[in-house]
Amino acid sequence: MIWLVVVAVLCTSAAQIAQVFAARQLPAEAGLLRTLLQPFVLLAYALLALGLVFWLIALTELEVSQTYPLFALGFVLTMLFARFGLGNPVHPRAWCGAALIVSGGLLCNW
Amino acid sequence: MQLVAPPFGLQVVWWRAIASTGLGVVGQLMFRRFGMSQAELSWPLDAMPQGLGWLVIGGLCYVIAVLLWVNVLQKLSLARAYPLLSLGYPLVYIGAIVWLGEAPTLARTAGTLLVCVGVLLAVAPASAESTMATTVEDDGAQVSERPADSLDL
Repeated sequence: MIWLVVVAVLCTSAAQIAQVFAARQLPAEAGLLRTLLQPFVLLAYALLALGLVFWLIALTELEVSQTYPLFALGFVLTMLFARFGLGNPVHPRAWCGAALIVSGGLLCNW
Repeated sequence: MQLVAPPFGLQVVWWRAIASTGLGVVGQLMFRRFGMSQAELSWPLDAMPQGLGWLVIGGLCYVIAVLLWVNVLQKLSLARAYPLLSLGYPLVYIGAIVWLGEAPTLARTAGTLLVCVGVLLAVAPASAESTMATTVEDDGAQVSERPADSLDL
């Protein structure tokens, strides 16, 4: 069951990246409709919907206090992408945060 | 022009950020409530109608929360909005115990707190100013000059 959560987290992380691109491409005064129809917003919703399906199936059996903290792993994934995908240096404090997120996620699934 | 002053002097964008966080939390709790209603059924044959309302309301909360967050990030740098990102974890945990009757355990309480602090550390920018300068060209070729520890999500 927990693999469903992992897949959901992967989808959500990809969606978050799409959201960032959406926010950057839209002018600050973009209206609701324009925001809704922006391609990256649509992509983000598609990924979120996919992740949601896996997430909902997982939640038929697993408690949310156990599984929800795993969503923070998305931050760790993004950090790894920034470091090894884009080659950006990552602040040591952020690595500490990643370590805390991973340990917290493990503790909740003890 | 603003006709009505926002309560407590908070800017409208902050209320949107808070609403996004709150709706996200409520949405997650609704999803689990929906999952609980499906658990006893022989999935997926006679699933759905029962508890479908939780899914619909939860889904609405979720969609609005995401939309609000995109809107917030257009106006606020994450350097200022990031503390709200970590609040969802303890709030979902408390909601799950109070509303859904999930049993609090030492491991999950500690784990949730670790995750909350971890998110703060992972997302917190080195300084508010430097994150404001974030730019990415449309062609994606340009690597931003922002400090790499400020993950702009």
